[in-house]
Amino acid sequence: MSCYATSQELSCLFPYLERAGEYLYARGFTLEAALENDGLVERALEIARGAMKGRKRPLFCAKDFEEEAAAARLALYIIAASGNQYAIRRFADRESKLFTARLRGVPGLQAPECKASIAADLGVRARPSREVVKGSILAVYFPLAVWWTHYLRYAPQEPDWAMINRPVVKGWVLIRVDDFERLLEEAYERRVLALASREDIGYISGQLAKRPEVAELLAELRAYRPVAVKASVPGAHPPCMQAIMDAIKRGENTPHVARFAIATYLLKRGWGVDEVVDLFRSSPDFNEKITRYQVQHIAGQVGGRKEYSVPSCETMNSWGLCPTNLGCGVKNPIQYGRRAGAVAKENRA
Amino acid sequence: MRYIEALFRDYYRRAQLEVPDIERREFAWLTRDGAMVRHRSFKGVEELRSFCAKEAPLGVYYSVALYSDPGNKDMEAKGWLGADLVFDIDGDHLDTPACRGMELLTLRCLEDAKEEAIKLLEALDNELGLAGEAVYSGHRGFHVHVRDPEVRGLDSGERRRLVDFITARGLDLSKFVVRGRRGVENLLEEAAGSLRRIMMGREDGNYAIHIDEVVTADVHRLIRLPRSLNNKTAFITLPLSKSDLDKPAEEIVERAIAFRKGSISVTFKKPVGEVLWEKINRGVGEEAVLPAYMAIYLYLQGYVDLNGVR
Repeated sequence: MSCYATSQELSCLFPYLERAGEYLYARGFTLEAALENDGLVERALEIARGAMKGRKRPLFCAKDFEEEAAAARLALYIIAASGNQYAIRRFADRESKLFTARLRGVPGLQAPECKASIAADLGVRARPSREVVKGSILAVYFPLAVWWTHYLRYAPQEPDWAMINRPVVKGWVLIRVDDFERLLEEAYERRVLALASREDIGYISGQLAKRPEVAELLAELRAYRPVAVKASVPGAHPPCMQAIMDAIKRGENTPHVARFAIATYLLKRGWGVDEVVDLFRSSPDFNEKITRYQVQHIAGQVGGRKEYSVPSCETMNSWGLCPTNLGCGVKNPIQYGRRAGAVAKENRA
Repeated sequence: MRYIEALFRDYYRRAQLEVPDIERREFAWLTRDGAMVRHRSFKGVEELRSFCAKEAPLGVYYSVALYSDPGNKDMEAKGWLGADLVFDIDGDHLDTPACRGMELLTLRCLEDAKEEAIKLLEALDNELGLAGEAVYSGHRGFHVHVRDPEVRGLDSGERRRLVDFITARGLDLSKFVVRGRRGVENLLEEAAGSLRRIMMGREDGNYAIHIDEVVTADVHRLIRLPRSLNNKTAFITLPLSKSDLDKPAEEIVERAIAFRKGSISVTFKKPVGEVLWEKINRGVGEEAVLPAYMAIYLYLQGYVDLNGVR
């Protein structure tokens, strides 16, 4: 795999890679066998509970590589068997962030060839840039190359990641190492979500329920809900903002630009920083400290002290946040409530 | 209109249509009443050609998408298998002196649209490694089709992000600033792939390729069938080779003329000045005898009434 790590160490670091699954299977870690191993089940329960409580797993694998890898896979199946989409998304978010931290922090994984081979396992076509743009200085600044269709699929949907802001040569998008790692994080998250929705999850669920301590956690997980958002804004909301609010309330992992847009909008509609922070509590990756700082920044209370405006409808559309191509009759989402109010007044008259 | 129908029928009797994966595509056509009939499928090119020769549709369209059941009226039940990538460059939407406010087709505007099509084909090749096939739309612009299996699985969000790339939306030049020796910051100057477009854009301020964004992002789009007749002009929707695009727009339109023979007497309903290579200069109510293709074009555009065929 061109990485300075053994197969068992790699399986422990990245238990949801295809090759980790194959390795564990070859080593006899089937679902049935794992469920007969008390220590492994206990560790799986610990990982699953930890993810829900926001506990971090260690960056390095120190011992019992295979058991740790098998326990992580078992933890995912426990979460998936609960059928609770919010819990699944929260778990996927935690694991994908751990993936990036390990990809960046474990010394044996730093060669471009190693990172490219991990990408291949995730279905991302990538090569070291020096193989793509031979003799060009570009390979120095952008050491990794991702095939353009995979870039469009996995790059975060944020303006910074627009493909036009990367050199694109004969289908290869040249990127910096940290961007590459971030892109793989998205692919890894989708891998975790795909494993959680595998076709035989019903069978797995039946096997898991045979162990009382797992059944107990499954019951807890089924009742696990995002923090309820109580605050509401009176009046009509434009379709874009309504869609973002609904997605957040459902506990979905919304893109950064959507969070920025809804924060600017709600602040302009009179919400306080605390109320906006509370709205984000249901996000799978919620971190109070970071969220509070960012909302205060948008409100102009910290940092550059600049209060951000609500993005225009044109910008919302270009960010892919407009649920309709037809528009909603305004140029900026903040005007929508006023317009809707005026129409209602006219109708009443 | 019956005369036009007869001409269209005659054209389709000898037309050589080519449709890749025809049995997987949805077809649609414009009837003489202007109604659009959709959700039809054909098993082969000959069946399609015979149908066109019999019905003489004013416009024929096919889906960029491939379906397992293309004739199904329920879009959900059609079974989407993938879609070609298509681009539409319409002179009508170009903000150039030649195209701004254009009503009837001018060669100068078509030249501008052709330049944009060449720019797009070069970008597809240099930047994405894709081979596009250009088609003259039979009116004011060009279509570019990409049928590479690589692009067929792109969903509409991914296509929208590709549109952003082609139109250079969100370009931030600071992303290409690199720190050189002694910490001096410079813009990367490498004429490779998209950087070439960006370097050229820094000179003329034009980084974007002007395409119809909605067309490219739509994974169910119906697009004019190559070698069919354009209902707005009666010109052929003409597939072009790369060398065809190097030729003047006049030659492309000449080749797209389906009805060359004869001339037709017309009465003008609106004033007409310059059209293509002809200076007509006639006012409302005036009569003239025009080449058949020009008379039919002006008739389909609503500028003249046809009096009689000569």
